[in-house]
Amino acid sequence: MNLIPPKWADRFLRWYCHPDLLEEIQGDTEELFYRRAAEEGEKKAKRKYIWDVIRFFRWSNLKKSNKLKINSLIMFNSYLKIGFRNLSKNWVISIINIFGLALAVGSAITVFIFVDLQHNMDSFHSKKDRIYALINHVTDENGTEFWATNPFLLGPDLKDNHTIVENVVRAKFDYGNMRYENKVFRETITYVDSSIFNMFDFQLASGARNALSEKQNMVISSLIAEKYFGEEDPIGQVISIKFNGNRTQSYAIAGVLEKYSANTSFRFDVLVPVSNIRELRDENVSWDWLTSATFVQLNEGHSPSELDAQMDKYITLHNEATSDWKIEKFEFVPLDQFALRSYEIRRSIAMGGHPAGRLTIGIISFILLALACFNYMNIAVASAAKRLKEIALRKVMGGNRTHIVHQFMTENVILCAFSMALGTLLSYYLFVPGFNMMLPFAMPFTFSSFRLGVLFFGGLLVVIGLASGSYPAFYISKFQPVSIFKGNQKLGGKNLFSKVLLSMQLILAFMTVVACFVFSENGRHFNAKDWGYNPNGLFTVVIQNEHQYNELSKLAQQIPAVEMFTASNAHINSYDPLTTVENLGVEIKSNHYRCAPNYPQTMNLRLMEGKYFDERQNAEASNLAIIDDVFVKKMGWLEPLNQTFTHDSSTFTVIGVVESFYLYGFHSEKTPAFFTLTDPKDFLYFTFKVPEDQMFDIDDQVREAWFDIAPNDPFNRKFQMFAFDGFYQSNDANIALMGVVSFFAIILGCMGLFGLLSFNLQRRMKEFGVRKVLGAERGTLIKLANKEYLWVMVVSFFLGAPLGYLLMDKLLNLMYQDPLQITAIPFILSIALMAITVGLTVTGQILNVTKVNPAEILRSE
Amino acid sequence: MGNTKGNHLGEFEELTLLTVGALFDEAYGVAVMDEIASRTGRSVNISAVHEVLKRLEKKGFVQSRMGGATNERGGRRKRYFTLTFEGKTALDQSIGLRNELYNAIPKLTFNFSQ
Repeated sequence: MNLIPPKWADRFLRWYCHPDLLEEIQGDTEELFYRRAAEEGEKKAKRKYIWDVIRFFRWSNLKKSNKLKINSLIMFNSYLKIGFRNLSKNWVISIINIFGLALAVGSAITVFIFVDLQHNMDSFHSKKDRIYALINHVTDENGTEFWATNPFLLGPDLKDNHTIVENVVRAKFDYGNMRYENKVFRETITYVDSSIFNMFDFQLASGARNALSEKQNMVISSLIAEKYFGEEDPIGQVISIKFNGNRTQSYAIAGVLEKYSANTSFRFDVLVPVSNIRELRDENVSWDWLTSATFVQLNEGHSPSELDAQMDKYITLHNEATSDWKIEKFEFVPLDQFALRSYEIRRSIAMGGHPAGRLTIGIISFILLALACFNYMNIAVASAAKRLKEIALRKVMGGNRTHIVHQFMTENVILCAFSMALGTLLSYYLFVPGFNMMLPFAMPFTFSSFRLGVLFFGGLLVVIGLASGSYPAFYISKFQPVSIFKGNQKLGGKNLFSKVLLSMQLILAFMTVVACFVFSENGRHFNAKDWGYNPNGLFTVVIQNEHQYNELSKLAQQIPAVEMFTASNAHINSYDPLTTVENLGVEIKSNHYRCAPNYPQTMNLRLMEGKYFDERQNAEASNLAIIDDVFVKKMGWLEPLNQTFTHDSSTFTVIGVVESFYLYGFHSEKTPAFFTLTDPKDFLYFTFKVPEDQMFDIDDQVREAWFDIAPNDPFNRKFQMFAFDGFYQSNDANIALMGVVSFFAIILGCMGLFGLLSFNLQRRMKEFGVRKVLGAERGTLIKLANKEYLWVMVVSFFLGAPLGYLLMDKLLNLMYQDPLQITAIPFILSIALMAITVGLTVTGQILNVTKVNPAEILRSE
Repeated sequence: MGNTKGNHLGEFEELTLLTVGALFDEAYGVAVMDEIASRTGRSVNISAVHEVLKRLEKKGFVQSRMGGATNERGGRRKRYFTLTFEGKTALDQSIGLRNELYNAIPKLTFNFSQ
């Protein structure tokens, strides 16, 4: 019988237990174990044995090593005291160290909070492990794309015919003009299945969770409630919504959502039951009709892979109903992955940043931390030169190496603790609010769980403490007292390690500075970059019907400053519907703008070949098309004019080619576009072209007239020149972030250099004194002192600059289409900037040296 | 006589001390634990018993010696505890105090509860 207590527990007991007590404790626990094994069975006995061992783990039973004896407590006090004295004696250096570390810690905390938030999007939904967002894969000539839009009919069928599916919620976005009393605004309306509040844990501030089971009920967000009702209670109020096509419906508000928490990746403004959608739309719902999102909730213990085989029939149903979008396969994305992957899912309703962004700021904060640690290491080693005698004396008095390590580690921990505290404050008061200004949402200063917060702070303290403190502590403690007293111990400037550290710091500084210049130059390049057309002086009013079109046309003719006006069904940068066109078996995706004949020239699109539409042409000439040069390239046409292509079973003939244009920013490449003619009854956008300087005046005139033309519709107007604002804002924010980071890097690099230099110069004071007495010029001294650092700088530049370049090149190509080719300017600028800052740091120190009276230096000691 | 705070007997301490006295020469950790369990129905963890015994020894109420090696429990010796004179006095005192207070309760009180 090999019945024995669990080995590891026994080993643990032997490890912690005081030897005097071990025998009796082991004896008693083991006696109990055998008795219990006989009475209650082996398993239970083992469990209880482990419990006993854990319960014996008490202070009074612990093995107490010498380190914990009373005199080491006294020594600890002495370490603390000497540590504090040292920090306050070298207060400049201490401040450099603390501030440097605090900057790094603060940014690390901020970045961590940000990344933590991104990775915990939607984690508050209690059924998140069973909820999946359905997406589909579509392959075309550009490769495979992921789409969030799914057949409308898929959801209910999935729910009805598969037992493992517990619930399905579809969401379909639409727009409507919402009116309450005299308040009219255009809102995003979402049709959802009424079971949405069973699936998701969105909290309601008021109203019942089954509010949407009544067809005429609606649920609104807290923002909408505030916008329309202010302090009033919105429950029970009736709101009318006018959808496109002049259909109006009234809804009673039956619920108001609580304010969304920061980790809500998909949010809704106005929710109405999906059953209303058929009444609003003429179209017979067929399988090519799409939702904006479909969420599937499975029963406990089931995996979506069980559905895989059964999804094929839906693919067939959908692909037979449409000529455009051929779905290749469906995929179930777990809810916790949904926001993280939303950057690659087209039309995803979840917000979520590109992983490159998280990676970049992660790398940046790591670099800052590394810089600050190098700083500390370098200065600590250099400052040990001043403390050699202290170390030697400690050793002579019987201190061993461990004691010296303790002394230095204690100082390091004090410093780290200060920096952590300061860094937390910096992050709380400065970095997080600053960061929030660049984000589209407010990030709270919290961690997703308390445990994670404790782990992060603890880990940071240990990592920084060890990374920055252990090298100096172990290096310094190695010295032999005899050689110190004899004066043989060499330290500091001649030390290769400290030079390597310094070059690392400077390399990192160069890297970030070059990266910053490259990035901001690129940003400026985008600010001036051509959109493909001139957006200035164009503004567009959203219209609902032909009456409004006619009235606005009359108005435009009356205002003499209006140069041109036009109207369209789709509008560049407002509504860019993507469709499929085909020519001789070549299928491409293209934006399709149905418009009035003069739309292309009014929008300042530049004609490259052929001609514009004839102004007198009307919808009867609907088989003519103007295309852009990307369209030509994708089709592979050499002679685009008079070529034909088919779209939606109509054939179009190309009469003109215009220059292609960017949509919403320079993130994505230009999409093919084509323009065809349509009737005024289809027009949804009315565009004015006016002189740039009178644009806002004319806008005011149009606005005044609008309330007579359409008293029931909001004045919804867009200035074309602001279409890229989202892009430019994030671009500016990125430039600002890079600027701040490289500023930190330079500061840290220079602080390190300053600290190191001031110690080294102090060490060489005598040498300089002697040289001065022997007649050395000030210039010679400066050259002498600078020489070794000059080399470090040159080497750092040649290593750091290309690294920064490579990093930025990768990043820019990942983020933007057609970024600026990197020029020499960033390199010249950065070397100049670094040379100036380093030069100032060094010269300031050296001037001190050269000013000092040599007699005083030589006499002292 | 003066019961200083340091020598005060806690409830569980008193129970353990009584058990050690009752077991006379056979009082070691497991035996004390079993005795308490069988007499009072209280299941206590062995580590708690050890802790209290250690504390009582420190206060001088019990003294201990290691027993001889046996074949049981992996040949490990037991630590036997016996009541000291101080321990006996402390018990007497605490029980005396209880009796005194108990007797001081007026008979009246019992009538109330009826």
